[in-house]
Amino acid sequence: MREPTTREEFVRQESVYGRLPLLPEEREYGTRGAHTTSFSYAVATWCFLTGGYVAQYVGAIQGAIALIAGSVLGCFLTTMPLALASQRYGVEQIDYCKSAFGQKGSRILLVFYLINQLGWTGLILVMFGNGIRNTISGLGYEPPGWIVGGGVALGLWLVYLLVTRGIHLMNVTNSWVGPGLVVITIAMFYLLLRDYGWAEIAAAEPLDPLENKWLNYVIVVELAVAGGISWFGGVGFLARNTTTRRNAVYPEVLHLGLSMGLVCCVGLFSSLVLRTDDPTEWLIPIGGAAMGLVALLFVAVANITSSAISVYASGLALRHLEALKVRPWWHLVLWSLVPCMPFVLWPEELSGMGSNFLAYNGTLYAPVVGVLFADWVFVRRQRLNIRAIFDDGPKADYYYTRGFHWPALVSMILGQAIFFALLDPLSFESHPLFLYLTASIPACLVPGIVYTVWLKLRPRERAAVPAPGESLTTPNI
Amino acid sequence: MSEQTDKPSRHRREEVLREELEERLVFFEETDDAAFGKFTALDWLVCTLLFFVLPIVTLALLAP
Repeated sequence: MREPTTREEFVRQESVYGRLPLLPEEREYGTRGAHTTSFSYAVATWCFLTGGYVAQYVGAIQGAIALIAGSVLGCFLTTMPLALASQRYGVEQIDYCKSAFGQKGSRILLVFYLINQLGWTGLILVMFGNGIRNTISGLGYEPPGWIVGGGVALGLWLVYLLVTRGIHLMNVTNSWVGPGLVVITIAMFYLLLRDYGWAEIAAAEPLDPLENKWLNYVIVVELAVAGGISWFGGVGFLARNTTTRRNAVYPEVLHLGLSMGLVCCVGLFSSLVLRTDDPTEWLIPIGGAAMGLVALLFVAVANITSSAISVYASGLALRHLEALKVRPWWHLVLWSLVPCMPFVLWPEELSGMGSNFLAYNGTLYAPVVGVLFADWVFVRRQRLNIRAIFDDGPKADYYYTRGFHWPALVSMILGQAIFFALLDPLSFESHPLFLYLTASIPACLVPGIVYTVWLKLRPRERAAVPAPGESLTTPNI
Repeated sequence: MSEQTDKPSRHRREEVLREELEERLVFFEETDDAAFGKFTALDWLVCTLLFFVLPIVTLALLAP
């Protein structure tokens, strides 16, 4: 991306790559664009990864029900407030979160956000590295031991090139990667059915289940809901670029929730019958040498485009940090990639913790999503003081108490405590109530209720500051 | 607009950003919701039933 030479170019860059609210005429996604981009984002290789994690615990039928229903549910909870607000006001999602969490409180969410985005990027790039290793094996050569880490490094470089060349190139790439992945997924599903048959898939035992069958099912529901909720990191970024509110909501829930669930099922079925949770290991056995290799290469490219969207969103989020606010876009992209470096050094070890990472997303985001949902729907009635989002003055609406909105933060901490009381995301040790409630759902609903009741009992009765049309006292852009 | 770290240039950038931000804030405050597309009570109902109630019912009914 070259340096702007005119005011118009500069403003354009600051709206697309910065935090200026995006005007309707600057937005890229109409109905078709919203569907294809959401689909490309959703039908990424993390679906295959998630399917593999789920195959550890349950069989095909239970897994399919839990994956589809759980991810739609989680995605709904996270999409409604974030997509509607980001679309209506053209703001990036951390900016939107200031209305509930406060100017400084929202920076806590920035940490969660970066952990989520960069964790997924790392996991996907390990899969990219595994794909390279298995492609070399498929061609009859012996891959060296460092190849997966080297693949992650190569992936980081490719992501850097793609993200620094702009959203338009990412859109062009997504416009053919998305349909290509559909073809591969359908072909894989067809070949699975042809070679193994539904009866064998449905009868396949889970790879490494716990003793309690009910607990296995609820853990998978939990992973699916947490997977849906973890779209927190991408929803606002996509919605901000859409032209209508329906384009912001329906494509996101349908693709990030439903399509993702469906494609996860292909990963689940494949893992169950081929007895491996590494997707790059089952493409060649299912597709045969030629088609499997082509599919593997294509999935590798798709890994790069998925990672590029995550890194793009992370780069935008880094604009909130004072030190990085005015740095060139490529600096932000580099800073977004640095935390992924451990995946170059310890790819296998870190990717082995993928299901824990997925559950941990529920811990981080379920309470946040509950508060945002309650704030947008029940407290603010879908209205924001957009001026206050960009005003750091102590009297501004969203500055609250020294920059923090305690009702939101206390509710969020309560939600996280509830989550940990019900499920330990690292060991998967659970409370008996987890079997009936899951962990993410109560960790989302209870903070939302507490926050709403708190603000109904103690509303902030004050005039909007700054009022519409009034100048910002301490602009924060 | 060519050098990020140059002080006068940075100052000018911030000035342009603030001006532009003020203009955009006025736009978003004055523009009616309809300009951003409809999302009615019926949309909320459909979304809540299909994407929240139905998944919970399905998970409960089809559990092992």
